[in-house]
Formats: sequence, structure tokens, C-alpha cells
Amino acid sequence: MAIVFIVLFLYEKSVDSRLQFSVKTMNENFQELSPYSQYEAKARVIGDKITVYKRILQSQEKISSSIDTAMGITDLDIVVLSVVLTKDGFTIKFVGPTALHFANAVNYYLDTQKVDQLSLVSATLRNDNKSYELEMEGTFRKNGK
Amino acid sequence: MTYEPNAQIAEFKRTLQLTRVKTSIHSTLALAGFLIFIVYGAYPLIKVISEKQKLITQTQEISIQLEKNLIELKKTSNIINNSEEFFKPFDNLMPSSPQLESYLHEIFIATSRSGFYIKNISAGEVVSERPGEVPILLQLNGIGELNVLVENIENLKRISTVNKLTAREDYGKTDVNLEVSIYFVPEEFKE
Repeated sequence: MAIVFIVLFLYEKSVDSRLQFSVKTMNENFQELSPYSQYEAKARVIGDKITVYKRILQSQEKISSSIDTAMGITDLDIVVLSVVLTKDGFTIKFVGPTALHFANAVNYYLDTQKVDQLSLVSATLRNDNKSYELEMEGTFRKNGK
Repeated sequence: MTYEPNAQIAEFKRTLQLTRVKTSIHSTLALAGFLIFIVYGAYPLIKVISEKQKLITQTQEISIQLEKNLIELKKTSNIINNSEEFFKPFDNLMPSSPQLESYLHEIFIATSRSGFYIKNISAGEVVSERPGEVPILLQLNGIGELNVLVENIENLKRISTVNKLTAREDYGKTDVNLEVSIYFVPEEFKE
């Protein structure tokens, strides 16, 4: 029994010294890593920036293409007084010499196939120069709709 | 001295009985000692040895992983060192802070090329989430085309989202308000 105990005791000591050695090696490796932590942070920052840049670029909705749709009525002998444009829709105020110009404007917007809804906000007949001042609101058709 | 066989036999029996009792006591004590050795000595020792061996395996695995990481990091650090110059322009496109000064320079050129001049420019409260967002309000006046103006801003290398455009006739010129968002990535941000 004493021999068994001595053998076990000595074996335990040997395992313990191996464990100490392993822990020392692990700590040394860990110490070696620390000078590179700045590069890891740099790489992470660059990776983050690229990911975010791509994500914003993909989800960006440009309104420049919608300007032509909203302002296209200027080709119909219509003078645009003001326009408010977002990615979802527009509000436009314009002056036309006859009521027919209003009908032409409505036709134009519907023909573009890019306007989903159109509503008349206000219509004024100016007696001084016999012109029609109109304000309209439009909603853009969503992609794939 | 007289020979008394009965007495001798009785003595022998008594000795035998005593020996049996002693043997059973010693055997019981030996067994108890053995059990104590096993339960409180050998078994815990074997358990400790087994746990330490598991720890050795774990530390060796961690060491191997750390060595692999070290090799990867050495490679990555070399790549980063060699390509740091290439990434510098990207810092202007997606900076770590709002960097409004450089953006204002860009937007001034973009609006001038479109036939507009900047009357006023103001930046709103910075949203320091991920990504950080800076709302900018531009007040412009000029005689250029609106679509060219917005295209020039939307096509800047630093991503600029035009959220709202308001334009009105201003004695032959056009008065324009633009609500624009620009972005940045704060360094503490973790994906």
C-alpha cells in the first residue's frame, strides 16, 4: 500500500510539473500576442468600414433619378414655382396658361409609370394674367410594385 | 507439579479464542485502514491527477491555438503594414469621425460645378451610433439644373444621401434647400 501511495504521489508530482510547464508555455504565447493587438484592432476597423460602406451604398436610394420625373412637366409650357422632393414622393406647385396644361401634367405623370398616386392640393385661377396656379402631390411607385 | 490435561486443554482453548478475537480485530482495523487509504488517499489523488491531465490537454490546445493565431497575426500585420498606404484614401470616404472640413471642401466643388453657390450650411446633431450619421442642411442659390446638382452630391466619393430637396423660383434663379446625410464609423464600434 505504501509503495502504491509513493508511486501515485511521485506520478502526481510529475503531472504537476508538466502542468506548470504547459501553463508557462501558454502564458509566453499569450505575451507574444499582445504586441500584435494593435494590428488586430486596425484590421477590425478597416473591415468594419468596408462592411458599413458597402451596406450604405447598397441601401442608398438616390433621388436624382426622381427629379426628372417630378420636373418633367417643364417641357409642357409649364412654369414650376416650387418643388419638394423626397425618396417617397413630391409636392409641386406650377403655373400653366390654360386648364388643359393641368390635364397634360396629370397625363404626363401617369404616363411615366413611376408615379403611384397623384392628388390635387390646390388650384387657383389668376385673373390678372389668366393663368392657372396648381399644387399637386405625388407618391412614387416602389420598386417591383 | 501435577499433570492436569483438562486445565491445559482449557488454557489452549482460551488462547485460541483470544487469537481469533485478536485476528478479527486486526483484520477489521487493516480493512478499515485500507478503506481509509482508498477513499481518502488514493482515490482523491487519482482524481487530482486526472484533472491535472485534463488541464494539461486544455492548456496544450490553447497553446496550439495561440501559436496559430500568432502566425495569422504576423501575416496580417505584414499585410496591414504593406497596404496601409492603400487604405488611407478609404479613411476619407468612411472616416472614424464626422470630418466635416474635408467634406465641406468636396461639397463646395460639387455645388459650384452644378451652377449653384452655397448661401448657408449647417450640420445637425451627430448620431454616434453605428454607423455614425451627420445630418447637413445646405441652402443654395443658382441657375443650374437641379438633377445635375443632386447627382453631383449623390455621386461624391464620400457617401451622401439626399433625403429631401426643396426648390423654389427666386427671380430667375432657384433657391434650393437640401437635407443631406453623411456617415462615419466610430472606432469603438463592434460589428
